[in-house]
Amino acid sequence: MRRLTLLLLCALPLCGCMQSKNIDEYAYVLNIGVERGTTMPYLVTLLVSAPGGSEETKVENTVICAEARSFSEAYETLNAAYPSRLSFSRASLLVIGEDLARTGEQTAFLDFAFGKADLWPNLRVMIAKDPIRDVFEGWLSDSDPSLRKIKTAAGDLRRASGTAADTGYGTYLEALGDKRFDAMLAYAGVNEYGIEEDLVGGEAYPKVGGSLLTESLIKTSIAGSAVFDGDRMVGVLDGRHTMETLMVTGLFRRGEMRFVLPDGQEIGVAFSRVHAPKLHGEKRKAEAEIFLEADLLEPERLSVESNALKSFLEEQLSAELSAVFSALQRSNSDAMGFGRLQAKRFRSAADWEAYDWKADYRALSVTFSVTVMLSHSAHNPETE
Amino acid sequence: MNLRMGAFGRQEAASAVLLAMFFGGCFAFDSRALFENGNASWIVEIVACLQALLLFEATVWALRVRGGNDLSALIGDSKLKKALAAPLILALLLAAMQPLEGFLIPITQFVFAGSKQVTACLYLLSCLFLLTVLGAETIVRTARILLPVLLVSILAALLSGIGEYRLDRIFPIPIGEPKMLLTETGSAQLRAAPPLLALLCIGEGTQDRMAMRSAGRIGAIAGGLLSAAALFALSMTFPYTQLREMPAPFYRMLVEVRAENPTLRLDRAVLFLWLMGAILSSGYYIYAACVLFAKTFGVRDARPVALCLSALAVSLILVLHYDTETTLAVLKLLYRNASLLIGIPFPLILLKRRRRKPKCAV
Amino acid sequence: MNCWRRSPKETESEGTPPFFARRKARKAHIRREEGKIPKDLGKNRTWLETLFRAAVNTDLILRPLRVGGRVDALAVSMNGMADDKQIADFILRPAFRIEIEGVPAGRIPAYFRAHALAMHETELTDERQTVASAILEGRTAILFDGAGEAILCDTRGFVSRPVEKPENEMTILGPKEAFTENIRTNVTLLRRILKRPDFVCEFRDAGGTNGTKLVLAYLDGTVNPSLLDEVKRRLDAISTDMRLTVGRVEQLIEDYTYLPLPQMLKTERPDRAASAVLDGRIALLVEGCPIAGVLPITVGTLLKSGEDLDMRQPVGTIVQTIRMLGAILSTYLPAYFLALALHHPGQLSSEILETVIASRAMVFLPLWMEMIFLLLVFQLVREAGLRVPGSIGHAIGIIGGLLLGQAAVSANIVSTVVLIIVALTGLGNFVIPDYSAQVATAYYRILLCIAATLAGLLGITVTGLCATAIMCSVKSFGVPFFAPYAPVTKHREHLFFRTRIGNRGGPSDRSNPQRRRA
Repeated sequence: MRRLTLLLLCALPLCGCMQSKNIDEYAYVLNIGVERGTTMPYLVTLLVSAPGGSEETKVENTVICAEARSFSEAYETLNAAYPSRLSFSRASLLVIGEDLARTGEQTAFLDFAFGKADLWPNLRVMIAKDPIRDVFEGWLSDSDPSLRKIKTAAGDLRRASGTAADTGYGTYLEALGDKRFDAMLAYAGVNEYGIEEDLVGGEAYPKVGGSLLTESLIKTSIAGSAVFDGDRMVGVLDGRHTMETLMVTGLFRRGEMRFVLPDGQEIGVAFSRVHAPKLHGEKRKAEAEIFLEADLLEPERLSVESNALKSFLEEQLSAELSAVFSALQRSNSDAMGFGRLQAKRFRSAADWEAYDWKADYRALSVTFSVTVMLSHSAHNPETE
Repeated sequence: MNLRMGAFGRQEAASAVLLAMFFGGCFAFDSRALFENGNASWIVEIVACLQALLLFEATVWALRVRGGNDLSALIGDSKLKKALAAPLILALLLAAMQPLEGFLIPITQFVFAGSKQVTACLYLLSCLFLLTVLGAETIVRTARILLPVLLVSILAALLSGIGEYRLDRIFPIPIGEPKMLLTETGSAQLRAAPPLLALLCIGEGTQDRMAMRSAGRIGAIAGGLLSAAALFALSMTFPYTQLREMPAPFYRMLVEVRAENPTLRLDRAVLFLWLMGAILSSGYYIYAACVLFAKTFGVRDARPVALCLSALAVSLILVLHYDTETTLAVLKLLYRNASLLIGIPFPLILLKRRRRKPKCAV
Repeated sequence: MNCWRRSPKETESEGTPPFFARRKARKAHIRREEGKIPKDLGKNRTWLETLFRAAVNTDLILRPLRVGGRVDALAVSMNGMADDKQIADFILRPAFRIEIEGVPAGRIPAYFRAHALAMHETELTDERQTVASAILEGRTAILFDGAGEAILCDTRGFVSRPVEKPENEMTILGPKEAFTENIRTNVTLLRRILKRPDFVCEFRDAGGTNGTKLVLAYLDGTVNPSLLDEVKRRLDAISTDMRLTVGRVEQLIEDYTYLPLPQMLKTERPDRAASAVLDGRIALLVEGCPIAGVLPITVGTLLKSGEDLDMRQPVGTIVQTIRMLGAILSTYLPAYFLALALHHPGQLSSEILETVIASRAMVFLPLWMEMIFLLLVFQLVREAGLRVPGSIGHAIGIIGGLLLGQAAVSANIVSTVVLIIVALTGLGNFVIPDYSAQVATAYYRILLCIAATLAGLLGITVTGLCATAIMCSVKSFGVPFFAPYAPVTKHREHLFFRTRIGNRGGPSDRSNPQRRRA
């Protein structure tokens, strides 16, 4: 019996081994891009890191493209063209072309891609205004910091400034599969672009992120957000309006805004979240309470009374939030996530699934109430 | 009889029950059914655990009244009683398949994309063989040794995702449908009852009935709470519509919730750490089924039975993967009527009266 | 009733023994008589000359003498084993001077012992075998004409190594004494530490024809009696012509032949053996072996150093934690790296990926082969370092570690990253205090690497779980290997944390001793 067991133990693993490849036989895809192709439905662009390159880094970052009808076709084409086998296991960013996102055709492509490739399921998702190849080129640099560090710095800046949505693929999928909210993805472009077609129509505040450390001719910057109605992109919010939308969703951490006071004085305020916003309401009526701490950027220049300033900021923000909500409502995008409030009303999954939330969303009226806790301490961004 | 039972203490038995309860609860075979009607899985888990505990207490009480240390003492040796053991053995076998099947999907789909299920199964089978042949003492001791590491990893996984939990995801809670909740609790018996049923089968190895009862209570309550907490965390991480389409949601929670850590990814190391717990749970069930079989049918050596049942469990998992539609239908039927598999034989076993021996003349 | 199947006892009780039983009893009597010392000195001389092959074996010294000028006697000793001066001063000189007039021939040995021998350890015997063994041990046997008894005098005076510093179990704060090859010295070393009347050193024959002595040292009234009986039963079963050492005795009495881990702790430090004895365990000393075996053992015994308790509690905890982490890391690191590099590269960060890829740019060996090759080379260097004399051994370590590694990297046989991992592993391996455990871990590591190559983390998981399960099923002389963690016993010892030293009395609960800590 002991011999039999020993034999079985030895023999069983020999029945098969898992397919493996040496670490240096792969080329690692860092970014994946998909946009509309010219001759075929999709143009797939990959930013690949592979062995080779200079003496110092010994790793070369290259951008490769292929047009295809599906992800698998693109994968096969690129694999055949590239000397090393492509591995998607280190991919951390997915960029979707705006042209594709506007039609919602990216969904079928992504469903397949995520089923087959060894992708990290929660890679960041972004919408690109310009050709994705240019966006990727804008990140490449021969200087010392690696691409990963540049991207991390850009992501941190994005999160710290609150001017662009930091959405993962998991959240994007959740928005598609569940009707509680609509997706809001970061919006990228090249060479100091401004947002020309903001949904609300306010002043644009493009923030540059990600091009800080690169030495390339093309500079990729990220600012604002693309908002969706289901799987279809319906518009763009600039940095400030993104910040305000994030305040309602609860994802806002901190960010800076500038205001013009009634006497014409311009002030800078750094906001940070005190605690999560409170949403409550009924079927077609909702209230959103937002709690912020405000830190004046140049308090010594200010000649306004604190209470008056507090009231001004609260009123101004409430008004701006209402404007952003109206703009989103007009586009049928629930990027602020009022659907989450509606789900609480139901006691049965079947009833919730049968409910057409978007029909009620168009008639939803929301009252925004912002509470600002003012602090006059000098704000020093260095210490953040 | 060579049952390889050994002797073990309360903490070891409780550890095995806890692990089996957790891995059975969180790596359910049919996650679609688990989240079919909204996010009630965590409520269902608690209720099912309480039901299983009641059944366990009743059995221990019956053992105290009639004398005996394990379930086979209650089953006895008539043909009818042997027939009663068959559904219990089947329930244990199905319970053993559950955690392994729950892990086979992430292994073959996410970790070794494109690999054959049979290859992964052979590795698992070799480990199952060893565990079941080494016997109860080894299984529960290994569970006791691995428990702290597994608990730390589970709690770390639950706590690290705390920033991403949203309470609004648990809605709608189907508390307005008590009938549906009852049905789901019945199905959940295949997750909650087998750990205690297995403990009753291997009760002979514990110090006494009181130690067995105490181990069962501690293991079931701790395991039930932990799996309910994990299911609650899962419900706060994903909406139920996503959960019912998602294979191995507890693993997906590790990778889908948070942004990728650029320096170190530990999701696969954690997954395989948990796999150890799953294999142990399966081994625990299979060994218990094998002891029940051996004692009921008078098989002297438990080891060949252990080998056969291990191979059977793994083969069934493979059949489920290769011939999904038919097998899935059969297995779903069994899982949905799990309450019958355990619920019918148990009362019959417990209600049975002891036959009085006819007084004979000296 | 069939008389063929009846036992001798049964037949005796019935009165007339049957033929075969009588024949058996007669043969036994003859054998007993043959083992007795004959009264005729000539016959004794012939017997000894034949037994020790005196014609060719010049080591045997047969010194004829006339005791008190009346009785012929023979002093027999082994050249080199016995001290000539002691024989001359304390046996021969008094033998010539003693007055034995009127003493009957049969009582001369007892009379001589009582009135002439100025020696501390003497013994009377009528067994030939005892005489032969005593001569071989270095004692002197005095045989008298007309007496069926011999006196055995302790004249052992062979050369032995003095007590020196331990070579393999170095400590900074602990004592600096090590066992020697002399079993008497070893017992003395233990007795100097354990000054208790219940400390027993039980001398036994190791079994077989060689007559090796061994000592079971334990605290009577503390040690688990069933454990002691079991050990004695197993020792009684030894019957081999092999030269015995602690390692060989361990293999002759252990339960699990194929388990790579030791089932007995081998230590060269008397303080460590004494601590184990105080803890209710048994120390085993074998003649000619400068190592003591301690049994039963657990995982904690193998992973703890003798001086852990000599350090302050916080420092001791840190050292113990580092040792444990080092042991775990060194065991699993190469396999984990292989699994990630071959099967799950996505788990490594981009920077590490870049570094590994760059370091492997020109290496022709596949990664798994490179790793296993280096691990084997490490074992080679280590073995070579052990087998050569001290200073050259150190040189081999340096050459192996630095020059060979550097040369292998330059020749593109191995990559720097793998070399670093193997070096780290090697360092980590040395933190395991027990040598046998170190060797077992080294080969388990290679097994893990093979599993990782075959199936990545799945292979490591399966191998790790199997190894853990096997270790959980193993018992060292009835004590589970993972005690006191599984099964949990009353007095917990932490692998990672060192507990405070209090006024603890009695041994720990590990081996279920008679007197436990309150």
